[in-house]
Amino acid sequence: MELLQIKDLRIQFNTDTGIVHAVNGVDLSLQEGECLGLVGETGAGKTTTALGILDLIQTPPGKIVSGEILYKGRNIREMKPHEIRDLRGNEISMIFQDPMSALNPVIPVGHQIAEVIRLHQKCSKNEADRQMLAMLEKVRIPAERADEYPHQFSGGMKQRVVIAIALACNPKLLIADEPTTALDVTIQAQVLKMIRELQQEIHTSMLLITHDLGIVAQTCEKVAIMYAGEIVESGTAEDIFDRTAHPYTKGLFASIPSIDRKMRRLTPIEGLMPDPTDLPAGCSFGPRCPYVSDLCREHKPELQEIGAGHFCRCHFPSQKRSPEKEGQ
Amino acid sequence: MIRYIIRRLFLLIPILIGTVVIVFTINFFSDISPARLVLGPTATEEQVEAKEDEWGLNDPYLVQLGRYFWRIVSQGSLGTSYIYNQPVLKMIMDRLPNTLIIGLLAATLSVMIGIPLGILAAIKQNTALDYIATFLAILCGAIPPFVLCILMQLVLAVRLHWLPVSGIRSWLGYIMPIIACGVMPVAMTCRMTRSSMLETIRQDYIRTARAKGLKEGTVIWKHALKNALIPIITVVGMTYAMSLCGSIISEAIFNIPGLGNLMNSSISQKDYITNLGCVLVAAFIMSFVTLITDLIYAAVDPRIKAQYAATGKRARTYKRKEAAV
Amino acid sequence: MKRWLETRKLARKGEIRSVGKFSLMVRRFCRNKAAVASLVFILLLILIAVFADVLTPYDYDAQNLSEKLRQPSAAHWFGTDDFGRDILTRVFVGTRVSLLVSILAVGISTVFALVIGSIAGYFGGAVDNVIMRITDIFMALPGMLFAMTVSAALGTGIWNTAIALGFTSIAPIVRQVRASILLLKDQEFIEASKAFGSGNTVIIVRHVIPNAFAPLIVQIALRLGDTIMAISGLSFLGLGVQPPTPEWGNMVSVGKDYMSEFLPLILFPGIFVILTMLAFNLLGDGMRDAMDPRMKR
Repeated sequence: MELLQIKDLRIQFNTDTGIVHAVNGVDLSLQEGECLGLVGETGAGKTTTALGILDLIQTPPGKIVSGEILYKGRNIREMKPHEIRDLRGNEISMIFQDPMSALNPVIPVGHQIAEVIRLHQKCSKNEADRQMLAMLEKVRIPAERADEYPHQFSGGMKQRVVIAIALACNPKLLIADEPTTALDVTIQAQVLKMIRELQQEIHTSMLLITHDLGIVAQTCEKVAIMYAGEIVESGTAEDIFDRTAHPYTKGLFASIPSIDRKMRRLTPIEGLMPDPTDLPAGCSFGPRCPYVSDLCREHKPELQEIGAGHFCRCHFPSQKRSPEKEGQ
Repeated sequence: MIRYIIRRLFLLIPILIGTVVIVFTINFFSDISPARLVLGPTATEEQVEAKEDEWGLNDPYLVQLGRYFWRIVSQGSLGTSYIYNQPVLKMIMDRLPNTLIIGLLAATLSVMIGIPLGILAAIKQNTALDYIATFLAILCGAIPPFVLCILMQLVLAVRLHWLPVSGIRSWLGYIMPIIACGVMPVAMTCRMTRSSMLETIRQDYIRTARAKGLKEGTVIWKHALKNALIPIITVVGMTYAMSLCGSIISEAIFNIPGLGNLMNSSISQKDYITNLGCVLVAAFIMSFVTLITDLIYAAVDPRIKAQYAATGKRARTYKRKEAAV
Repeated sequence: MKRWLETRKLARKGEIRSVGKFSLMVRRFCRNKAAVASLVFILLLILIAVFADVLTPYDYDAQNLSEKLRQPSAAHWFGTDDFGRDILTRVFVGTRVSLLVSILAVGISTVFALVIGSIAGYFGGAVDNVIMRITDIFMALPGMLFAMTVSAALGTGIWNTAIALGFTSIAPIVRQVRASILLLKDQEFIEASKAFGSGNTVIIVRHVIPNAFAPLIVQIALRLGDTIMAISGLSFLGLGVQPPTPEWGNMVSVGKDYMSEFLPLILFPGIFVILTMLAFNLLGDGMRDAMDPRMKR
């Protein structure tokens, strides 16, 4: 059974400049113990989707307009607030993008970890502190630093504290929202490795949000590519990496350097993502797509299964595309 | 931390010296002689001259200024009032408690009403409650103390006879002055709390707290409030200074023997030496409140505490940056 | 996020070059109805101040003792005061006095503060240190007490009150100007602009002025309101502007003596002070929100 299944999720923000269509009918599913990579540019709606799962969208201005978020078969959107609170930090927890601002500056880090343990395990303060120290140990922070404040920690250490908070209650599902983007390159790998190890240790499923296909290749079994609030391609890592179907995914691969492929220069994807307050009528990638046709401009493509478990939102997924165009 | 407090107390000295020099200089160049006012229009030039000599008003500027400082250092005296012929310090000390009580209670009012109301308005943002609280705060912030005093006096005392028109013969007499001094601070604190709270609620660490599964109440009271308090403390400190200033007008209207009233009469009677003493004491109180504000900062925010503990210079530049923002 | 969207939208339409920071501010300001209404009210006040003499058939100083302390009527909309003078006319002329003194005072303090603050910010080092220590001393003086002292030393009247209030409010503006200049000194966009080869004029016009002066303008708006409050407070206490020159504060002060039987002399000047304060505060807030959309609710 699926641990998490998202069906046709739509999230909008009401702003002065108009309605921002941040997430437009996202479908995702995640099996127990699996790691799913959600990939896309800044502003594609990845973080909004993740916050939607935990019902953490600021309302107003944000609003989940429609869709279902099924966790263990129960729709989170229909749960009572206290039921959702019991899930948060306990069964589903989240690692945030920016460790610099994710920790409360006026509360000692140890307490911030112990707080979530006490809340969900209903244990004594001493027991919570004991578990907190064990958790600090796991993320390799010396126990004597538990009473220090976030400003006394480096960026990498702060992110490790955030990881400790997220994993303190052995969650079933971990959402990691660009956990390494804000960190120095030198410690990115280290933090990522720690997340991966701890995830396997406690058999947590993970939704890894990133814009880095390299990280996805290392970590995830399944991948979903997101563009302008839609999933444009999803499937197993092999589907995405070896049998790339959507022109956007191809564009992503072409714009990252690779040692294996001999390339003279990188080819960036031309143009900008469409204005989320004013999305095109047809395919949202249409304006930037090298293969765009009249059909694309007028009709929005549906997500169609092009291989077993391999979905693509394109009128002309690469298998069906004529070979001479492919060569461009 | 103790070293920081001592250092700050030493910094008070140049500020107080500066205050004396500024106010003394301003009064020195005023051309109305207090001797003429004391002796009345019938006194001869010679009598006035003799009186001025007695008070040392005809000495050169530096001699007079030096004498003032010398008196403070050697006798702990702020001189003798020209009009009342009493030691200035004693007159001030007799009246100061009234002013301090009113100011303290007004500041308490702004903490007790302004902060909860501001928090409520922020949590219930864009609801009727928020609009009413914000509107009231803006309106109350725009009513000058003298208009408020007179309206209260008219309605509560003259028409309804609930409270005494003036004086503080019973505790009832304190009510109107406290409200008069407190309304604007309450309004300011409320608005500041609201905007600071809204700013804080938007922070990532509040999202982290919610993602932990904490109840909304815990998120607000434990995680948001302590962070939001930092700018609010500044405003509460400022409101104390404001109620000190507001007391001049309310003390005049409600006829309360306080620092403001003494200040007011010393100005109208050209009793410069009393005036100087009043301003000096007021400046001391204000600096002291600022110091306490800074100490509360350190208690709330570990980052500021760390900076105070580090070096004095860095702490000061940090604070100034804060003030600039 | 919102700012980013706005800029993106403009960039897409190719308008980013023509739409600077300033016009974005104006747009945001215009969306704030309370602030716009306040601006209109203040403009109205200015008109009243300018045409105070011709708006009513009465002279503000024409006494008519047989008509004293009359309730509002068709002839005297706001009634008459203790000398039988038309209150409406006196409130209008009082508007002129309040606005004039307040503008003079804020003008004086702004000019001095600009010079002093710029020197402190630009030269830094010992000069800055000395100026800021002196500023600290002035900041420690309780505003109203200090203003009263200066006002008493200088004497009453429009000019003296303006000088007293201007002099006493230099210090906080000095701090602000200095802070803006220090902030600007090491801003990246200035560096970037220099790197693009912009000349000094371009940098000053496009970056320094909007960035340093926008906060100053907000400060000025808020300070104008505060100063009007201070003038009426001083005049109420018998300092500041004194009769026969009408001023809201000294009118209320006279009205205080008749408060049990005659209200108009308290009510109408009082309402004018409150509305004016309200307008300046809302205007200042609106401008600040327009400049810093983060603070907007």
